[in-house]
Amino acid sequence: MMRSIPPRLRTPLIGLAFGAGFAAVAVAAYGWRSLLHLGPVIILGPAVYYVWGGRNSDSAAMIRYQTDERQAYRQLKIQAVVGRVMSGGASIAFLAAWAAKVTLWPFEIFLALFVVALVAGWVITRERGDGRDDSPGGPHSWLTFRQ
Amino acid sequence: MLRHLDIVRNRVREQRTQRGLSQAELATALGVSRQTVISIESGRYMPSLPLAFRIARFFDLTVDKMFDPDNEESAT
Repeated sequence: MMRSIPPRLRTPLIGLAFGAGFAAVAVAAYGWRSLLHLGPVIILGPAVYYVWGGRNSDSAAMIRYQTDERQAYRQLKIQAVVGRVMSGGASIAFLAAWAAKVTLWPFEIFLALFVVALVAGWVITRERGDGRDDSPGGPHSWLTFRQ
Repeated sequence: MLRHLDIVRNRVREQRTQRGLSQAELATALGVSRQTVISIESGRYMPSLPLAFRIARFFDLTVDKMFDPDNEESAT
């Protein structure tokens, strides 16, 4: 289904769908007046994202899912920075919550997610045969050389 | 860690201007963005091996003629 949607429209539409869901919950909980505050953000956010995606820039290429190798590498570095800041922030927040003796479980969820994501990333990006020494006389020489 | 890669010069700008190409035209020919051509020309981005081969082949040169790890100004 996603492939039938133009790349530039994907993220704004996802934002719009989540925004509509959030608005529905807000209306159910707080009434129609909550839409006065939420509505502009829910509509303007994806609209700005869509317009930005039409520019000739790295960020626009990322929005359109049309990155070349440098832009994809830059995107990875940005995600790495975000990951480090978020995991560091969650760790500091956990320690602060522990010191203040307040509820810990929300922070524990973030730390558990960090560990799960780390393991998942390690498994997903692993290379088969990585680290095997197949040089003559090496433990895996049978892979390359006939004994 | 890979600081030595920072000093690898290339002749992309030189070859492009010799052929009268714009950065946008070269980018289209290589299948990358104009920003990436600018980054490669200025030496801020080191292309991958496949892209380096594409660039060298586009200009009918070898990769070591296009990208000079010894930072020499030898003529092509």
